[in-house]
Amino acid sequence: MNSTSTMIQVTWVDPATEDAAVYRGELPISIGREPVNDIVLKSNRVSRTHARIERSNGSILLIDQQSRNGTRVGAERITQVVLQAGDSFQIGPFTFQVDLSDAEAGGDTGLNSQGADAGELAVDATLNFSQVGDALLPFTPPPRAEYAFPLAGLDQPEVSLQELEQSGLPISETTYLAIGGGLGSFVWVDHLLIFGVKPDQVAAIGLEAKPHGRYERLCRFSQIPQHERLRSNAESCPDNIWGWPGYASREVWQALRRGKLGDAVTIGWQVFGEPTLAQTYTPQAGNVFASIEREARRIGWEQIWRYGHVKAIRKTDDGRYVVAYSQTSADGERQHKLMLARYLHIAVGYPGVRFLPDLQVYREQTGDFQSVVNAYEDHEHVYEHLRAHGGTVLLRGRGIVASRIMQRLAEIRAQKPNINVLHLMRSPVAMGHQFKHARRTVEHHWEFQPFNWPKACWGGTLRKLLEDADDQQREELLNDWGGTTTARRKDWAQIVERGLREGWYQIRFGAVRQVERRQERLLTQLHGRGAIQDEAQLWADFIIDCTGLEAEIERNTLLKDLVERYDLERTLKRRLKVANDFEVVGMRNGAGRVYASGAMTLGGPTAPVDSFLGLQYAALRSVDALVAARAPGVRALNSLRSLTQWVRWAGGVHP
Amino acid sequence: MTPTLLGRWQTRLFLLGTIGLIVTLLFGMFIGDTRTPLILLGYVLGLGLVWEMLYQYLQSFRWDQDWPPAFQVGTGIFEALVVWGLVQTIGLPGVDGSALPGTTFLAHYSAVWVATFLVVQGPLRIIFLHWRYRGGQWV
Repeated sequence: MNSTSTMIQVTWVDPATEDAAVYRGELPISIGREPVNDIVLKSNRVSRTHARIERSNGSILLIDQQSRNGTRVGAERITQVVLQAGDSFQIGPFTFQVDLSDAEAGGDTGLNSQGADAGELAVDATLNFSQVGDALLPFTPPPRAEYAFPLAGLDQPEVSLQELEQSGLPISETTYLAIGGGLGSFVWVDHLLIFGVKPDQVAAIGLEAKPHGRYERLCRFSQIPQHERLRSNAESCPDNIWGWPGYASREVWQALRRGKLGDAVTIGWQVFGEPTLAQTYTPQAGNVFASIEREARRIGWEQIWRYGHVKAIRKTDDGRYVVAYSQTSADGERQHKLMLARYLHIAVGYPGVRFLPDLQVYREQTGDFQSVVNAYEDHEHVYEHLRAHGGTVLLRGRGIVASRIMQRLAEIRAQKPNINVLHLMRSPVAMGHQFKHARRTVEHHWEFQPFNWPKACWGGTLRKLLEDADDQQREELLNDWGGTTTARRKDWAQIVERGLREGWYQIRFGAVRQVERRQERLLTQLHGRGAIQDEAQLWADFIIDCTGLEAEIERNTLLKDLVERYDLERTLKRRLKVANDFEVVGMRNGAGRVYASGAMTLGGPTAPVDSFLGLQYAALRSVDALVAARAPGVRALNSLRSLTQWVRWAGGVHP
Repeated sequence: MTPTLLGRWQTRLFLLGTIGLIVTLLFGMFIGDTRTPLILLGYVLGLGLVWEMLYQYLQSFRWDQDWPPAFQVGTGIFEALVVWGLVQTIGLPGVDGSALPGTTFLAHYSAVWVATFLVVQGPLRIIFLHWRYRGGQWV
């Protein structure tokens, strides 16, 4: 540390989106909830003026400003502490890293850029999903000019039907159109049909014929094959809008039919006692996919879905929307088409996978896409290599995906003992998130939670709290409930315990300075701590980035265009703002309505936006709104009609 | 379940007012006295509205703010013991404790409890689609 330095850089991660944030500025700096602070943190656990970092007698001090919930270094609550480069401290749900070296090297002006990529690495750290054959794969497309749809009228926010007809492009019409064609679209269409809409009034446009195609592939890459279990609740059934019978009941029934009484009792006990007395039940991936396929057949998804890449959406002068999409044939020929609809639903999912900036730099500089991989990419070759030769894997990130990969590595290690796992984490986790009287548990720096949000976010007190909150409060609540967690599973916890005890699994903390290839291996150099910048070195054969998926609006050309063209509002998480019924209010056009759901709507009325049940909730709310708006063909699902529809579902009869 | 307080109250009121009532009337016809079971049902309901406030408070200490089925069983047993204890000690108006065999009380209480528990675990969602998203609330 340079003793004359007055610059400091601290980095942290948004608890809900995992977006990296960085602040670089001159000392002193203040941290708190009020906007007057240099670093403004939205959380109920953060006081108005919470802490200060200042210079005193040649040291840099972190001083707690008598905050209500305290400032912590590890588990210890501090009033004042000397900070050194590489230190970390915790305020509410935020964990900060102090990084003095970068501040000296590059810092000039204060910058408070929550949502910006951390550090000095000016690199595009996302891989967009691109179409490869019939599949969407995380893939860096070669730089090319922005694709333009060959229709001049689409430059205007509103186009006339006359202009469309003059374009000479094929035009079709429907009443309800789902854009995306994935699970979000599927559950919306499922609700519409059950609420009375005729199939010939509904269409869906997407790239994959199976609604769960992309989801299934991401599961497979991230080590959830068909027989493994998803991190999802028994009653979150994308094939059944009522959630009953749930996957657990169905599994009990199947076990009983096969005479496996023990299995039936185990599952029954799980749903009965979870999560306190038993580990939480989660459904088998294969069962969920099979159930979605069954429901897709029942509602005639094959006739509703059509292949296409949606390029743009525009309001029309008759209170509808025109959707421009392209179809690429097997020989690469692209055809452009238009579709008119009165009601749209946008659920396009995550546009890409996120790469840690230092790993993306490594990949770009070396072109080595084999030894540094993202967990959501196909990286089976890593396991094949390990099975044949053994080696050391460096894991980055500590969410559910990291835990699945850990499990896979342990399975291979059972046959091939010379496999080691190094787990690099940004900072220790001593204490779990807190909300009012409740606290999340932590074990070996993994924070536990059965699902990716507290359970009451789907249909309990927390759902209501978030819905009633304003934008600022929503931001605070999401930060308090968010964070990277994994489900505590007994088999998995045993793997971690054993690995730590036997020494083949080790956890290290630190910020990465650089990743490079040396002596045919990967060398990760960490920033040192304090006065001794000895640059800890981690050697590995493979690095797997488990930090997750990217949901920035800018990554999706359709949404980016829409937000810019119609000046649509955003949430404080920088996603698309939707009303409590999931309408994109700025897109209203006479009787026409646009709804949205999924990852793009984080920061809005519901937290678990990308979960099965979250998508179903959004679908239900928007279809309820369509009933209220007297949209054609939709009728309220009273108890009798609901029961009738359920009986049809149970019998496998078309709604 | 992840109930809200209003949801707890409304669900209890609804279930005991429908299924609870039907089971109680059937049970009453079976034992030849509908009055005592009905009064007991009223006590379980009335006290229950108070218990729900306690449960909701305890639930707020849980990170997931949920109330697993196992807890529902636990509270079911607890409430039965309290009502039975009150009948046998200080006495509850309208119920003659000395004339109420423990087995009759147990049979009636269990029948009502099991019926409502099973309905909550599933079928209720089929006729009330929004119920599960609203923490058990209708209005």
